[in-house]
Amino acid sequence: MRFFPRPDAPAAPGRRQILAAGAAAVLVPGRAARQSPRPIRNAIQALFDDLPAAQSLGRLYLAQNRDPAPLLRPAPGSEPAGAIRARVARCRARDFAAGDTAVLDGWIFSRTEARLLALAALS
Amino acid sequence: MILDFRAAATPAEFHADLCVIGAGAAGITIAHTLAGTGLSVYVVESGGLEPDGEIQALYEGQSVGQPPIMDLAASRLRYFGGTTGHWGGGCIPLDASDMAVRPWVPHSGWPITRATLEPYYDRARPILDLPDHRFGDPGLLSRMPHRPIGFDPALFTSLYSMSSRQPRLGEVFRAQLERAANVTVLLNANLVEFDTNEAATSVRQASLRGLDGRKGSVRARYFVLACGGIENARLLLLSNSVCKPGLGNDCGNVGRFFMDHPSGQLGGVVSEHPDRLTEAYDRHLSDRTLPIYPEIVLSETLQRQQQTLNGRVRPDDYEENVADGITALRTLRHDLSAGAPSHLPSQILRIAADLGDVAPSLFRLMRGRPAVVGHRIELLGFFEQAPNPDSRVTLGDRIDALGQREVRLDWRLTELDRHTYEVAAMRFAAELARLGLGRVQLDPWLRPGGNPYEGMGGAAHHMGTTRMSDDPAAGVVDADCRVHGINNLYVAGSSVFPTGGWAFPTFTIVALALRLADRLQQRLT
Ligand SMILES: Cc1cc2nc3c(=O)[nH]c(=O)nc-3n(C[C@H](O)[C@H](O)[C@H](O)COP(=O)(O)OP(=O)(O)OC[C@H]3O[C@@H](n4cnc5c(N)ncnc54)[C@H](O)[C@@H]3O)c2cc1C
Repeated sequence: MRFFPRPDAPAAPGRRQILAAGAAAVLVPGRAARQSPRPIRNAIQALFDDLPAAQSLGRLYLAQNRDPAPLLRPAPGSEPAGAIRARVARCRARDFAAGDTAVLDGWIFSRTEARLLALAALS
Repeated sequence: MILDFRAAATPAEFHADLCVIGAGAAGITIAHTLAGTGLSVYVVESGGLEPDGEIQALYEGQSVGQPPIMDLAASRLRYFGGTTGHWGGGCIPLDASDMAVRPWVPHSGWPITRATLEPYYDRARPILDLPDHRFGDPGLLSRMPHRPIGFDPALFTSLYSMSSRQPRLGEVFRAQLERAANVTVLLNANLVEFDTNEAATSVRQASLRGLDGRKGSVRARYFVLACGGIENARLLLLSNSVCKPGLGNDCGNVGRFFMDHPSGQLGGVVSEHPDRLTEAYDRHLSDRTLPIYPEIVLSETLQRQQQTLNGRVRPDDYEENVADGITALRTLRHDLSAGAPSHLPSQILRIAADLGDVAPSLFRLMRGRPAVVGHRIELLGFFEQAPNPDSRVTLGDRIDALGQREVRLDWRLTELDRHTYEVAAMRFAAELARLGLGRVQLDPWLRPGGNPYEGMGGAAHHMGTTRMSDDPAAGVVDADCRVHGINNLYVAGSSVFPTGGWAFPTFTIVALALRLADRLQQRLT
C-alpha cells in the first residue's frame, strides 16, 4: 500500500521553469506595466518574456480548441499596453473566479490567458 | 480480567451476556462503556498485548483490481488495541451532507442522520482525548499560530480537524479492562466462524481457534463483530457452514462497496509566497498543546454544483533530504512534548553532529517559518470515495495459518471519483491564482487523457463492506448495526458506513460503538 502523505511522484516544476514556459507577464502581474504603448499586436507579443514558449503553449491551446474566440481581438488602431494589462487582469480574475480555465502542458491558465497565448501563436 | 487463550489454565468454553470480537477502536469502546455494569462481557482478541509477526500474517491477502494496490497486512494491526497501535490520531466528524442522499452520488444516504450521532460524538471526545474545542468554533481561528487562507467560501471552506492526544487505545484502556470485574479480554484467540441455528437467524456461539491449534467457543446472548473494515466482511463470508453465501449475505452485499479515502499528489505549485501558502497547514508549525489543524474542504455548494464527492486539499511544503540533525531534533521535540524522551543521548549527539543544518533551522522556527526550506510545494488531495458495488472484498484461494481462506480485495474507483479529483485540483488552482498565491501544474496522471487513478493511494481507512441500510436488499446491517435477518449479531466499525465523506473514520467508529453499547445495554438489562 502506498500510505499517504508521501507518494512517490515526479518532481514538480520549479518557478524558473514556469517563467520559462513563456507566460511570465500573465503569471506575474505587473510586468506588462513596464511596456511602453505599442500597436496591439506588438503589445500582445510584449506581454510575454519568452515569446517562443508562449507561442508553443498557444499552439497547444489552438490544437485543443478549434475556435479560440480570442477575447482580445486586435482592435482597429492601437491600445496602450497599460490598458491591455488592466483588461487582462480583470478578465483573468473573472475567469478564475468562475473556474473558466484551460490546461496547457498541465499548467492551469485562465481562459483569457490561454486565448492570449493563442493570439501570440497566431501573431 | 485479561486471559491468554494459549495458557493451559485458561478454559476453552465461555458463557457471556455479550461477546465482542476484536479489541481495536470499536471493540475497546464497547468494552470500556460496559465495564462496571452488571453484564458479563467477553472480548475475543486475535493478538496479544504486543505485535507478533505470525499473528500479523493472518492479515495477509491478495489485492487485485485497478491501481492502486493495497498491502493488506501493513494497513491494519492485529493485536490488543488494533490499528490504533499506529494510526495517525486525526479526528473530525462526518458532515450532515456526507450522510444525506445526494442524487449525483449513487448509493449515497445513511439511514441515520448526523443529529443522531451528535451526542455520541460528544462522548467520543474523552475516549480519544481530543481538545475541548468544538469542531466548527470560529474562535479557533484566533488560536491558530498562522491564519488560514481566506478562500471563496462558495468553493472551499475552512474546517478544523483534531488529533487524539493519547491515540494508542490499547495502552489507554488496558488497565481499566484488566480491573473490570465484568469484562474478560481473551488474547490470542481468533474467531473462525459464527455458528448459527439451522435457519441462520441467530448466532449460538463464536468458534475460536489459536495459532497452536487450540479450539474453544464463546456462547452469548449477543455478539458484536468489531474486526475492522475488511475483516468484518471476511469473517461473515467465512461463517458459511449453515448459510452458504455467508452470514448476512442473502442479498450478496457482504464485502461489496469497499471504500478507502483515496489520497495523492494532484500537482505542483509555484508561488512567490510559499510560506503564506503552506504555514497554516503545516502540522510541524502547529501549537503542540492544541492539536487542531485547519483543513481546506470542498464546499457543499461546489460539491452540489459540480456534482462531486467530498474532499479536501492541502498545499504541502515537501522536504527533500532532511538533515539527520533536524530529524533528531524533531524526534526529541515530539518525545519531550509526549513526556517520554527515548534514546536521549544519541539524539543529542545527532543534533550536535549536524549543527550546521540545525542552527539555521532553529532560526527559521523562531521566526515562525518551516524548519526546512521546502524544495517544492505539492498540492495534495484527500477524498471521499464513491460507493461502488464492484469494489469488493471476497474470499481468495490462498489459505492462512488457521486454515481459513485469505481475503481478496478488488478496490475500484469510478468516473465520479476521477471527476472529483479534477474539479478539486482545477478549482483550487483557479482560487490560488485568483488570490495571487501561486500557480498549479497538474501531475501528468490528472491531465486530460492521463491514467485516471494512477496518482491515488489508500489511507488505510477501510469502509463500506457491511453497509448500513433500512432495506435488507440494499445493505448488511440495519440502522442499529444489527445484521439484517439475524437477531443477535451486530457489527461495529467503519464497515457499516454507507458513505465515508473525507473525514478520518475513527471518531465516527467510536461514536457508533458508543451508540451500539447503549443499545445493547438496554437490550440486556
Ligand atoms: C497508518 C495508519 C494511519 C491511520 N490514521 C488514522 C487517522 O489519523 N485517523 C483515523 O480516524 N483513522 C486512521 N487510521 C485508521 C484507524 O486505525 C482505523 O479506523 C481504526 O483502527 C479502526 O478501528 P476498528 O476497531 O474498526 O479496527 P481495528 O482497530 O483494526 O481493530 C480490529 C481488531 O480486531 C482484531 N481481530 C481481527 N481479526 C480477528 C479475529 N478473527 N478474531 C479476533 N480478533 C480479531 C484485531 O487484532 C484488532 O485488534 C489509520 C490507519 C493506519 C494503518
